[in-house]
Amino acid sequence: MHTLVGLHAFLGEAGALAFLWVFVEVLNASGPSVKRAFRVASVGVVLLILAWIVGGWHYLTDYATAVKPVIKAGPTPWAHIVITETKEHIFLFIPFLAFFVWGLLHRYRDELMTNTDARKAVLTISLLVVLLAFAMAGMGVLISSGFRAALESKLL
Amino acid sequence: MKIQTTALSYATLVSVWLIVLLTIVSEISAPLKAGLVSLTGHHWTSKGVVLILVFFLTYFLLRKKEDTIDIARFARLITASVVIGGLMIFGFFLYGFLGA
Repeated sequence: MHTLVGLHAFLGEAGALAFLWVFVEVLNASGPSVKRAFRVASVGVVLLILAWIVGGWHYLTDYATAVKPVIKAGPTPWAHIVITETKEHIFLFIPFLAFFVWGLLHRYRDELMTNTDARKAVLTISLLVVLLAFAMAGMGVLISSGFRAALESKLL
Repeated sequence: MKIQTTALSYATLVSVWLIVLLTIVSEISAPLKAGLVSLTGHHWTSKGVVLILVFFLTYFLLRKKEDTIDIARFARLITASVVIGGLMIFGFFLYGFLGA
């Protein structure tokens, strides 16, 4: 596995787990849990921004020159044409949604226990971040499989 | 610093739809894609830069707007936008592949 791919996957999944943590903390919001949720969301935003930078770096360098042409010439070109193209753009939703959750936790930190609407909003978007991040991991598996299939078709 | 929920919500919603718009239109319009490439060297990097700028510009322009938004409703709107926008992006590239 390429180092940048591994790091990108680790940062992305750690970011997803951070927002799953936020979801659980806010589900039963109390004073300490809201403070923890805010701190964890802060870490989650940083992790997802780093995942963006690292993944982007790989996408623009090694992927563009060494992986993309191989996948496109292999037996599953859709792995790039459909999946990579979709992943690289849908991923862009995630940092903004994560920052939105962070902003809501910052704004409503003193009233999250009593403000049901704010709690629902944090829960909804946190879960969305988690689901999107895991969807990215699934797409990553499909892209890697497409690359492996292309390499195997050359060897066999 | 107090974060303005209305400005933040609109900035997020605008960013979501801008991602969908830039993704699809830049694939259809060669001049737009070329313009994005000329900005940073790669269309994807430029999309990221444009999104960050638009997000903070939208927040800045709306920061004085009264904070009376129905935040739960807006969260559902953002979620629906992400789901619909995401399906539009996937459908666009799938259609492009199947139609090629």
